[in-house]
Amino acid sequence: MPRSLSALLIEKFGTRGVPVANRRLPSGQVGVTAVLSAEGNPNRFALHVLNLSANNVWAFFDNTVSSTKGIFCGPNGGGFVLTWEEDFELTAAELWLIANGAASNVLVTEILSQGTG
Amino acid sequence: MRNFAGTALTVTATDQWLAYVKGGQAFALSATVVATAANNGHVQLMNPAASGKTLLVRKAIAVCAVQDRLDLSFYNTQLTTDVGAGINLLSGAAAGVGHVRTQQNVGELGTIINGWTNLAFTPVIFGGDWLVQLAPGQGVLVVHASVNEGMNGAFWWAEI
Repeated sequence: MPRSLSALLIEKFGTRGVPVANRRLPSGQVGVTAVLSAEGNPNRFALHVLNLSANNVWAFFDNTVSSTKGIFCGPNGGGFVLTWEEDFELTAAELWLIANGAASNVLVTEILSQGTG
Repeated sequence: MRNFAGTALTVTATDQWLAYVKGGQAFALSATVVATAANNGHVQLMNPAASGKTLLVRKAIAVCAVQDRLDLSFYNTQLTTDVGAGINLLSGAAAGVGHVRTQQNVGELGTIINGWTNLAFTPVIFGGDWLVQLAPGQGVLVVHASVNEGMNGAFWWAEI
């Protein structure tokens, strides 16, 4: 009888891990002003940030993010992944994004602990 | 942290333009201003103030029937006559937010970026790979330096 991913996660980690996309950014877009794109969340195991636009996007962990202060996410697929095993509590920190053009499409995916339910 | 670069470091302007055309994000439109005594005719690409889009202009082309100087200028006030919304270069896709507009004026409007002396009936092409970028509320126009001339102006741009 094959075991589900959820069952394996519960066995190994004691909890499920559920993906949620653009939870803090329903529009899926950022512009030239810093915007909170993921809240600080101690239940977050991983964070995946992807720039879908043709503009440049920068990421940082407070609202001082700018083109000279942030993780660069290049156009058309640039981005980064944070995981709890490699990035420790940075994974749970706030995420702020800014772009150099209006209405820049991004994808912010969080893996959130969902207990055993 | 694991990073991935996207296409920022490798894509050429031509590749990027092709991506815009295929993605329905590339647009073009032209307009004609007729000779009007004592007036300079202007053809503008305007990014409306509430568009929510950035216009990345690839080329502007201007041509008139006499030898003159044709100027490319920034001008952020929309001209008086709306010719229409940009035509999507992905046939059948939605029109753009950018509009081409025209106006006759006594004197040139705007801040000249570049002026080229043209031969009669010989297009002046502004732009190679990319020309200018327009945020919402910004515009660029072509205008003939001497009064009382007809001119055709065309713009090619991406909306991102």
